[in-house]
Amino acid sequence: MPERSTEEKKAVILVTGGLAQGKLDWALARSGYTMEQTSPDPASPAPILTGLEELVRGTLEKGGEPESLLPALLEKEYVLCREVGAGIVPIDPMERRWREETGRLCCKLAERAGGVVRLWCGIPQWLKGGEG
Amino acid sequence: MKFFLTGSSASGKSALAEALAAALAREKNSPLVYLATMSARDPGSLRRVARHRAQRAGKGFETIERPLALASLPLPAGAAVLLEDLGNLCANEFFAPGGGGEAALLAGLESLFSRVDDLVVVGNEVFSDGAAWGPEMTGYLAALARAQRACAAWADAAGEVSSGAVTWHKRPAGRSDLFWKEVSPG
Repeated sequence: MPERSTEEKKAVILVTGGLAQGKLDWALARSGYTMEQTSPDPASPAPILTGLEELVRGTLEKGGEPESLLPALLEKEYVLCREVGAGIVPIDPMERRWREETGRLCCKLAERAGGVVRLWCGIPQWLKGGEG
Repeated sequence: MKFFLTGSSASGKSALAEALAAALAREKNSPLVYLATMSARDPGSLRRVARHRAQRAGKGFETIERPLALASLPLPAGAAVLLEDLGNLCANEFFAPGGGGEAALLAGLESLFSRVDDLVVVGNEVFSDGAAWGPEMTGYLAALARAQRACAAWADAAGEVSSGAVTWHKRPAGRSDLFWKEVSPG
């Protein structure tokens, strides 16, 4: 039976949830990192990436493919992404695509992540792996 | 025991919250108070309010209308209280005349949680639509979210209602099967 490499990097944890539900507070409290160790820029060495939804928007606006972000996201310890798809589908094609691509990227990231946590009113719910 | 429930509109959260509050009041034979936050003015809303009020009166609720400033609200001693809902209360504190903004919202909730032993607070699920609201609405939403986080932290049990069923994120403990049977029969 093939053995899993023990030298594998700590797999990323995807932290999701609605607006202001406590994603960042939870990630900081759990990791012990400070705000200086967070960044919205995937190229930064910061272990916590904040605002994946805005990164997806920026990527789309520059004509890029959000899926190309995946390798950089997998290098992170925590990736924070606001849930944006539980509303009326907007008429504007760009707004539609943004919701769609954000949701799909989260699904792809979740497949490869070590854990997925959804924050609800400050309370973590483990959807994959983790402590629950 | 203090409960905090959220859910989307028509999720069944009101009916469940009413049943919970009524069950809490029955346990101690205490007065049952419905704290209504909606300030209805138009005929459609007034009709809805009248219908809901009649529906609750049959269940033993006394309705107290209080759109804002809960910190200074007198309550019957020992009453089990149902507060519905935080979205309205937050909107009133933010946008209605006499509203005190986020500080008044949090002070009112903190006061309720400290004064009332048997409490059910109903919140809203409005944080995941991705809509680019203006700064005023985003400020309102973020304040509502912070208030809901506070309620979830203060409550003994907290969960999301969908189709009348609860997903507990903070599990209620120390209640008998009979209690739950009364809350959601069948």
